[in-house]
Amino acid sequence: MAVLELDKVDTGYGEAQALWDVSLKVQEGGITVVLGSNGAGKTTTLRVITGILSPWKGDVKFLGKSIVGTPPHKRAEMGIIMVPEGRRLWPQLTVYETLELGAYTNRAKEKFSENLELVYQLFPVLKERSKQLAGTLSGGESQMLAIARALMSSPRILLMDEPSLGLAPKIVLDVFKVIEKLRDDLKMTVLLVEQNIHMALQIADYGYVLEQGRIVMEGTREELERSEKIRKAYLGL
Amino acid sequence: MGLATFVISIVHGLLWGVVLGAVSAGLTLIWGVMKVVNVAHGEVALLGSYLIVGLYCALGLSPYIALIIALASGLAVGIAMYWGMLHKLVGKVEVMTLRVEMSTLLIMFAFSVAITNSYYYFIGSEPKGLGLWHFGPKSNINIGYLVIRTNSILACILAVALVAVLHLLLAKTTLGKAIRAVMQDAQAASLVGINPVKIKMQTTMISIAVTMLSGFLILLHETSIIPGTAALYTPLSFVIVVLGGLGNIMGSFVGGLIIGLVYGLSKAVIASVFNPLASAPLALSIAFIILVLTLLFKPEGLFGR
Repeated sequence: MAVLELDKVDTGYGEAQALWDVSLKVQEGGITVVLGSNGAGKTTTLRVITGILSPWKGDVKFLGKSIVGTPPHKRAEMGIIMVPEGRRLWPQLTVYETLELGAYTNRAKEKFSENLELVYQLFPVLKERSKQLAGTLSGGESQMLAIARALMSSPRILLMDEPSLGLAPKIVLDVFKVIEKLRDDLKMTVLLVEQNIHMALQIADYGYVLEQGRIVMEGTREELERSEKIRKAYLGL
Repeated sequence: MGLATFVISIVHGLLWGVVLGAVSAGLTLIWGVMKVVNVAHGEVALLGSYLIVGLYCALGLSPYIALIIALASGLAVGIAMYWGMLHKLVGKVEVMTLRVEMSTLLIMFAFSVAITNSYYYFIGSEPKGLGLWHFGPKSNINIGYLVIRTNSILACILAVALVAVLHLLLAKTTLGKAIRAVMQDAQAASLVGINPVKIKMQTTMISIAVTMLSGFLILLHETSIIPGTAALYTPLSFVIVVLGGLGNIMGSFVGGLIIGLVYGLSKAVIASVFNPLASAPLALSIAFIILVLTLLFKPEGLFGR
């Protein structure tokens, strides 16, 4: 069964429609990617999933049940956890406080020490900086803290919005390695939204291509990599 | 101005400054976290003062017990204010627009006018106080030429306790951390399962309860109050909150000390070199010049972020 499913979703901001008839499925234990250029509707898709934005039409299902109308904090309680674009850390909270708040829900509180150990093992630098304010971290460290905060929430599905944005190439590599590790070692279900199509395709199990608010293509990694359209339009081959 | 006058004005300035710092705590919380520009702040504090006076004079309750009742009533008034006036404006996750912030200012302004006029109608403009009630065995302590009222000392002790409890609440408890997270990025808070609307309601309750408690400090410090007392405390609280940085409890405590000291000293200086009658109003003007200077040169406040 798909962990998450979007069924023919239309939505937008005010009068301006941003998504048309978007359907996608995220399978358990894999990395599903949504590819597309700036303004294609990738972030809007994630907003519909987290509940920040409501669909005008269509349905959003989590573990087979519709979650339309469920507010974002309730969805977080259910295990729909997002690493937002631009990190969205609380600059005046320490690294440790940020991790504590990651485990805010009762479901996550029970697993606090277990998750903390995992997070410190994945990102040892966060342990060293646990007393430092989040606002004083470097770009790469901020991204690690944002991922760590999400992991502290014990996600059933981890949504990642452009984790490579604004990071140095070497750090981007590190971040993608971590995402791969989450799938391989922890069997985590990930939905990754990326502009960096080259990197995203390397770790994807299944992918969708968004263009101007519509899904124009979908397939396994091999299918997408072989596609003439992707090679020309996105990879410059 | 002699040395004695100098020392006296510093001591009294600091004593008042501690009270001011505690009185401003509720404002820095509601304004900093929720962007509610509570221009009825002083009036809400007086609600606490009048409640305690009423319970003491009418029912003969000890002010300490009245203080606990004021705390409980403060939480209830906070809920009522949130659902009655604020929820429609601030009860959402999105970043507040300037228009909404202005609306909170206007709604609180309306509230302050309504509440002040109710004070005049139901309580009247004559001074109300705790009469001869005082803290400890004596009403005054004399140290050389310094005369300090014991009620002023009690006000200081309670003020420090209030600020310390509030600071610990924000720094150490899960609720406090959630409040700070909502203040800094409500949407990110909702993504970890925090309900920002509930946090805002709880913040209103805490802010209003703390403000009503601080009404007791005003009562102790001023000896007696009139509805117009709010007209001094509301503007000064704004100066202090801006000086200390929005949402910063310790910042507003230090801001209170600074304003108390500046006010006390300038009053003494103006009285001795210029005109004793002009000293109070001019000292208040100086406090407001500090507000203007802060906004011009350090708009994020002395301890701002």
